[in-house]
Amino acid sequence: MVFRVVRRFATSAEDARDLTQRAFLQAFEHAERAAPKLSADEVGAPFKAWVLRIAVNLAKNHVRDSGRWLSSPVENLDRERGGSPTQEAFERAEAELLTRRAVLELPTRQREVFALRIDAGLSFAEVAQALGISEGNAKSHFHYAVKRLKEEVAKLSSPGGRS
Amino acid sequence: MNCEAVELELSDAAPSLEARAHLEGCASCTETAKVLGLASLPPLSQSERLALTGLASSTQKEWRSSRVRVGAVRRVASLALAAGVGALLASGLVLKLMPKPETRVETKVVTMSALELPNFEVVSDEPNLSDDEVFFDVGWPSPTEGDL
Repeated sequence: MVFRVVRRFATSAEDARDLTQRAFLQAFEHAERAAPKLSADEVGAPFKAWVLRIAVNLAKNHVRDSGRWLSSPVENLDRERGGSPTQEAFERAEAELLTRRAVLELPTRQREVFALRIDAGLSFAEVAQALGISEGNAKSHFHYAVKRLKEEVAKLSSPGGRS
Repeated sequence: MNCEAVELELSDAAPSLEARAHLEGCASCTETAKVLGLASLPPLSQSERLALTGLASSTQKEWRSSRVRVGAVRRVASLALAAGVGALLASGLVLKLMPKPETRVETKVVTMSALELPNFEVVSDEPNLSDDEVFFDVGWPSPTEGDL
C-alpha cells in the first residue's frame, strides 16, 4: 500500500522502493514515542495511517527536493509496455499521461488526499486520520481535486488544448 | 443520490448499484468517472514487482543494522562520559590527597613621620599682599592710535 502511494510521487521504481523503505524505517524509529498516542485511536487503523502519513510526507519532501517533476514511473511503465499501439490506444495513453501530470500539479493537500484515496484505496475516514484532518475536509479536498482535474481534461479535449 | 455523493462513491473500488444507475443518466458524473479512470495508476509493472521483491527483508536488515549502529554510538558515548566523570573525580581526589605547601607570611613594620608643612602663619604676616592694583590698565590700544 505504501509503495502504491509513493510510486505516484517517485521518479522510478527504485525511487519508490527507496521511499517505501525510508517510510517504514522512520515509522519503526518513532514507533516507541508514537505508540501511546496510536493505541488511543481506533484499533487496527493507526499504524497504517501512521506509516502512510510518513510516506506522504516523505514523498512531498522528495518532490520538493527534486524541484521539478521528472518522468514519473507511470510514464516509464508506458514505455516498458511497448507493443504497437493503435491510434485510439495512443490517444488514451497520452490522456492518461497528461491527467497524471495534472494530479501531480494539484495543490499539496488535494494531491495527498487524492493519492491516498485512489492509489491506496483508503476510506475517507482513513485518509482523514492519515493526514490529521477531518473526514469532511478530506471529502472537500477530494471534490476540489476532481473538479480541477475535470477542468484540465476538458482543456485537453478542447481543440488546440493539447500541448 | 446526488452528484457529489456519486463522485465520492466513484472513487471506491466497487461503487454501489445506485451510483452506477445514476452514472448512466448523468453526463457530469460520467466525466468524473472518466477523469478518475485516467488519473488512476496502472497495475504494478514487472520492474516495480522486482523492486518490491525482498523489500521487507531488506528493510528489516537495514533496521537491525541501524539499531546496531545506534547502540554502538550510545555505548561509546556512555563510555566516554563515564571515563570523563571518572577522570574528574580522580583529579579531585588526587588534589585532596596531595600535601599542601606551607605558606609563610612575612610581616614588616614601616614607620612614617608626619609631613612637614610650611608655616602659613608666618607667610600671612607680610603687609600689603592685596591683589588689587589701582593703576592696572586692561584696555586695548585704540585703532586710531599707534602704528595702526
